Amino acid sequence: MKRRGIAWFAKEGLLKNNPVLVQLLGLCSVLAVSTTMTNALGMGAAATVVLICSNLLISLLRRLIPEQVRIAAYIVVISGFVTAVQLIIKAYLPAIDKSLGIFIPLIVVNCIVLARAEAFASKNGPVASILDGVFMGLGYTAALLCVSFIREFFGSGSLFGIKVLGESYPGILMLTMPAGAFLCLACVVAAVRYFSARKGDK
Amino acid sequence: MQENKNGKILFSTLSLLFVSGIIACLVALVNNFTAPVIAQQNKQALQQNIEKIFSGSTDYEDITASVEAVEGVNAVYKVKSSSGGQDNYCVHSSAAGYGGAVELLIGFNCDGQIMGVSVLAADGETPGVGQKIKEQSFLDGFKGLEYDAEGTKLDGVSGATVSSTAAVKAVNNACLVMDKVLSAETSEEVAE
Repeated sequence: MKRRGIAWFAKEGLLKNNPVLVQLLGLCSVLAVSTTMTNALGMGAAATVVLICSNLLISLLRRLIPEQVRIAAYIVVISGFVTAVQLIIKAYLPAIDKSLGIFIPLIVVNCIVLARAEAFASKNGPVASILDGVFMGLGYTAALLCVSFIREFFGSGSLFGIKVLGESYPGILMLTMPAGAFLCLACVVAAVRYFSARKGDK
Repeated sequence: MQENKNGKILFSTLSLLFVSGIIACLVALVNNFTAPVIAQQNKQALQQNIEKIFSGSTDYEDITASVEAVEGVNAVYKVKSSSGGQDNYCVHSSAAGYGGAVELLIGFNCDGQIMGVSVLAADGETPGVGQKIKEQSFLDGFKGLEYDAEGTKLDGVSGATVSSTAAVKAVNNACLVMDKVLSAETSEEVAE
């Protein structure tokens, strides 16, 4: 097994293989919860915790789970952790639970988590899998924060629910709606592609 | 060969059972810790909303079980008046809005008049349009009203017909329940 440092995982998760901006995984949740930065942070944190825990457990059990039933086993592990995280959010952060609603349970079918389990945790040791989970989760959170910053700042003139552009700012209503989410995400992805392509030319 | 195949199936089944077992224990453990906190959380939210409608009264009793069910009505509470007067009532009612259920808590006095309305959940409504039903200026319109089938006595939120109608429907359902509760109380008093 190759020895890889934290820097490698950081670069992979945040930039080179960012789950949202490069792999285009889990877009449904990004579109839906990026209306405010508070939501984005809550969702990002929840998904990161699930990613780390499921990566760790799947990595530990990787020799035990036979190939034929691996997907079923992964889904059981992921949904278990999602349920646990949902219960914890409900108990200690009821405001986040109310605004994220159905999207917390839907982390189960967020393909980022399953993709990391299948592509990484099932083939690597526990420490590497935890690092992979941390930085893939952070990459997801960063992409979410990026999109939600644009949507909340220009859409309703606030950041983390606090008005920053003054009461007179009318807000761009479309940005707060689903159509605006698509346009905004497309622009962010295009910008990331543009800059990474230019970097490649040099 | 055959035995080997059977053994493989058995091994797959057992390992899946093992993984499920670990996860089930984990979820049970977390649930054990969080269940009381969640129950407390829900109670607190209800209490706050009741306080918002009847300033001061916090003592309430769940009388849902003793009331004939009406579609869309989730719970009925009897709120003891703090000043020693007659009891008030609160109805938790919901109706389909633009993107999911609109849940309201409606406060009634002992004559079945609406004392106040508070929104428990309207997260599926469009931000900036349907979400305006959360604004006090809209909710205050319900005060003093009684059953209103068409919702004509109320100024809806312009541009948010669906959300406004859902709120009116939820309030109307609550009124229907209140009628039943109050008529049951009166007949009880007569019998006494």
